[in-house]
Amino acid sequence: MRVSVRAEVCQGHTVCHMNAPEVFGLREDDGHSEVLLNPVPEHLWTAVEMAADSCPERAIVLDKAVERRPAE
Amino acid sequence: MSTTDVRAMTDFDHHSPELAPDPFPTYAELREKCPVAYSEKWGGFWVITGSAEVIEVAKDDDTFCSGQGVSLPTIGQARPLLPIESDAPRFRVYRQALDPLFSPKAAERLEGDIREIVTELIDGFIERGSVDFITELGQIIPARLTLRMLGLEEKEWEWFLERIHIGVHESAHDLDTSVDALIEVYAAIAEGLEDRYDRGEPGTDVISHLAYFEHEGERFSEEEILDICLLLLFGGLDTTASLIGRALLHLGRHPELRDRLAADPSGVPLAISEYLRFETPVQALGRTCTRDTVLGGQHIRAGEKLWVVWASANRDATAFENPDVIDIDRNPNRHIAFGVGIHRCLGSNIARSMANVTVREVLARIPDFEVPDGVELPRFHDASVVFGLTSLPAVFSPGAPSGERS
Repeated sequence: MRVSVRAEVCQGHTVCHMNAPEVFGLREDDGHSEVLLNPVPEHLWTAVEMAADSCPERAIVLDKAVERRPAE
Repeated sequence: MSTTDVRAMTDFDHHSPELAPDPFPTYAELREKCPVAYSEKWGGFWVITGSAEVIEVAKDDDTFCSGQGVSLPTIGQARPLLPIESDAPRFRVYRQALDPLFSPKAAERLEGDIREIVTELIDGFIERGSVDFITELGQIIPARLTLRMLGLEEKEWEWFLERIHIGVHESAHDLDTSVDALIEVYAAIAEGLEDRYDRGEPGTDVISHLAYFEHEGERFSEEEILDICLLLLFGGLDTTASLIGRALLHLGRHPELRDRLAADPSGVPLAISEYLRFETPVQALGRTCTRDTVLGGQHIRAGEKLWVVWASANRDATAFENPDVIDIDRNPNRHIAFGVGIHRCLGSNIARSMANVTVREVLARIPDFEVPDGVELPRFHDASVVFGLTSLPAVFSPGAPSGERS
């Protein structure tokens, strides 16, 4: 999974950081989100999905194209 | 969606004393029947209660501007509250100056100050075994912290609180008293500002920072700084107290949840998010439509006022499962208690920090607190903007002061 934050949409609610601090950092001056870790390691997928679903601005975009490896 | 020129009408009045004790059933009815409805009260305005419509309005700050006021009717001050009653591009300059002072990092740096105030206040009542969580804790913390941040007299918190209360809650009922109270607060801030100018160099407090902040070589006017500082007092006091009250009322009535959070305080931030959603302290704010448009199938005309009800959006079943139930583990929780769009609450990080620290300290020091059944739980008599308790009596096993009292 890859994740991005639409900078023009983010307003610095910081909810992504509360959910997945390893993946979402906060800018020093205004607390707007910046992605720290891409692609997202599998053990953090749930936390990142939680972050995306909690963002009041819907600023987080998940690219799940690479999410599931073909079975076996 | 079909549109019609026949307006969905309501007799909704956000200042009504009948609404104040519990506005949520009224919001639910409006959401169900007409999430965008027109009321003829207060000169006429649209009341927006559906989640999708509330978000659409708040995010479209070109069509729905803030620069013509966010209270309804206007609060009585001759000047706008800044930056909330301004629009881009000037709005961005105000936020550029203010954001660093209210950022997550700034909130983190203030945690020591918050804990010191909370500790001192708990020390003041811990031997008694009873407390009023609003008047002896919840409303004092944000008042003292805000005055400390501004660099005004922290020990005068009661004087400021009284006048801000009048300004927030009386504007629609007793305009003269409201204006008089605000003029006194303006004067107190102006005195502080003169003092900062006299010093001739920037200090560390907010007033000083604003006095010497430059954008493209220009400083803010004195009036702009007073308008900003008044909003910082307006925005942070009753709102944070209401959040703390909501949290401690719920935990004081649900000992199993209280004990669980006391044993594992890592759950406190999620719980605070849920209290923000469930009983949003800032119920609603106004906007003005700048061009004819269609919203929720209704034709809105340029110049018309809108009343954007965050608290209703946060109870919308299209956005939340079981919206009328408090679930302190709710996650994801896409609440919009701090608004959405460019005007997102400036103080959100510090407000959450105050609530988190307060709840943790209360759980740690008076873990068996209870809000007895049958006690009176009065609320503000006008719930148009701020909804919250004005008193929250609780009892607990007495404990010892921390000895850290300064």
